[in-house]
Amino acid sequence: MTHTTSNINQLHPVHASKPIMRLDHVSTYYPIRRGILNRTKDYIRAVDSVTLNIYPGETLGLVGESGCGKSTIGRTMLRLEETHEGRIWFEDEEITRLSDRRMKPLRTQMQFIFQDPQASLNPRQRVGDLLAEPMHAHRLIEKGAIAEEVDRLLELVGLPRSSKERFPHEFSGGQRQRIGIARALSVKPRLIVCDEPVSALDVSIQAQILNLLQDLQKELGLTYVFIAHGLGAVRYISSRIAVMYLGRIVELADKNSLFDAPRHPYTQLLLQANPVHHPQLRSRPKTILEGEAPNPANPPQGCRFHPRCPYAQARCRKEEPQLDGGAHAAACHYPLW
Amino acid sequence: MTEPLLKIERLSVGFRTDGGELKAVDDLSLTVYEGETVCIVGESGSGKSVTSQSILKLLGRNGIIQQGEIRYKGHNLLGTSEQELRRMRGKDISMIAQEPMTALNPVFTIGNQLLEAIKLHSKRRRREAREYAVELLRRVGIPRPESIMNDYPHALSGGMRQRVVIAMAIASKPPLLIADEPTTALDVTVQAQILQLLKKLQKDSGTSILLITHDLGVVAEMADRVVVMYAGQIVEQADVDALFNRPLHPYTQGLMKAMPTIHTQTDEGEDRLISIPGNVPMLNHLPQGCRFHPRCPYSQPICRQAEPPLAAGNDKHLVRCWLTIPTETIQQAAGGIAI
Repeated sequence: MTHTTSNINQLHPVHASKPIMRLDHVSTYYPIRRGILNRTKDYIRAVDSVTLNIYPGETLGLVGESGCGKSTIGRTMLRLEETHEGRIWFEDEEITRLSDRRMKPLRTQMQFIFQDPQASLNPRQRVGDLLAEPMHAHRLIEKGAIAEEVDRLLELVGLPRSSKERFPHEFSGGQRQRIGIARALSVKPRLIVCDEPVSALDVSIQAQILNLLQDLQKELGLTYVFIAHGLGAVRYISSRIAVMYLGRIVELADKNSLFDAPRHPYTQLLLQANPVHHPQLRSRPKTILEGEAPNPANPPQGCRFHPRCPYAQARCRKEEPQLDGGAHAAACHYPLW
Repeated sequence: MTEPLLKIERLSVGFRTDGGELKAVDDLSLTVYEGETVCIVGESGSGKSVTSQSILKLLGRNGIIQQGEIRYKGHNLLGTSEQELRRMRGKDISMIAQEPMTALNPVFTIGNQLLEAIKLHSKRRRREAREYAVELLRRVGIPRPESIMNDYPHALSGGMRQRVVIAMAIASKPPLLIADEPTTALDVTVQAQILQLLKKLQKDSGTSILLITHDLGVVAEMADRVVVMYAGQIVEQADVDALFNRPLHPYTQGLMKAMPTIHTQTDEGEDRLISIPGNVPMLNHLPQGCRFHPRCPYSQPICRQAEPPLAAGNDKHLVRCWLTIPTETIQQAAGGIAI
């Protein structure tokens, strides 16, 4: 990718401040092992040379089809996956290769909210202990003050204090997600990566959790990376959105600009694939994106989207486009505008 | 109007659990006419899937049909023998499940399974059946169908597997297709492809579709008529345009407001989603009176005391809510309870 990409974010007036996190040409590969010796034969390029800035107080939405690398980026940011190439900074400190011991104090600054709160909460621990554990582990506050802090956290996420005596299975999906959020907040983080936090919830509950996340952001000045395939939720909660395809960012823009006037053909087709919100809009002409994303172990030559792109030309088959400059960036030789 | 293809009348379905029998579907009636798409929309525990499973008696050991009738072309399915039902499954009524792997056997090739589905209901010879199988795969939009025939299900993506399941489901040209969340496990781009495929199949062969979903977007895209379920009951039923233009039940209204759409322009932190407070009730802890009243913004004393009937408004628009019923009628029904 060209060097212009690292300047893109700074051009945006809202993001004049210093980024809280920076990714510079970050790649995360998963090995494909085969044979009786279990040797690495090839790599799945889940994230391939991504450059991205995240600014304090913003919500950066990450969208794309399954397998595009959006979850892997989120996990790479928090060092839950090892980076193959490239560098990651948290504020002024480079964290790409920090040891676990030196990473530990930083872990309180960055937290993760999972899609399935059931899987991320120990079923044998009471909610009170679940919330107290991270505070113990990081010795954040005195032992005597922890109980009070648990009450405060529960109140913050809208659960009754009596919840601390109960086990996770006694709660509904939405309430469990509130517990997951409270646990993430217990170490007073500044950056939270939310990986599909509402996808497993009922429609009537999704809105509650989205509103809660937004209130908490305002109250605590949090920065979010919001990973989701539900475009409606992403539009609602994000400030900027990055669209990913086969391990690369193909478009990065302010959310309204992205949804109202996409520049990349992939973004346009992704938006059109979303079901209509009123039956009268059914007859509106739309192009259906054919086929499926190819295997990330062996991405197509040239522009990775060209085999599915209705506007592909000779150049797209040979030359890989880079994310162009400007506040509304797209990686396309022939952008829509 | 003509005789409906499927007519469910006053169906109640219970489940035996350790804590006693739970009623998952309560007094449900609905009809599906030839060539139309009826959507049942609801959240978890609303009874939408149980309703669809009872049609072909696929409830499992703990499910009991407590009352009601399910008529297919006038023929009562509940009185039908298991042997006869086996003949009907796939030939008259087919089912598409949310997770295609539940319908596909991992140790047989796609071809094997498709041929089995074809031969079950037709007398085609082996070669003819194989040709038909390839044609079916082509019809559901599978590239290189000849080679896919020899693949195992795990080699295919989720979207391709769902296409195979659809190919199996339409093999014997059933007049009724039941699809239970057929696109929930898929990407939105693949969902659009599958929904388009279902529409095309319907247009080409006049199949009726009973589509179960939690997604109002899918409803807006597909339905002719809509049944909204909440906690085991129908709370609203209407033509799709009527429902989206003027939802009458506070729950339906809430669902529509709670759904963030990609078309809503929002500025950071400016407006909030209007959410439905509280949680979906558990079937063993159903509230007294109207089942939605603890979450309803318009709840009145009567809503806590008596269960509202499913009453008809204009244009066969049915709704289960005391607020839509004239006060005098309520007073009579409630025996003078103050409102």
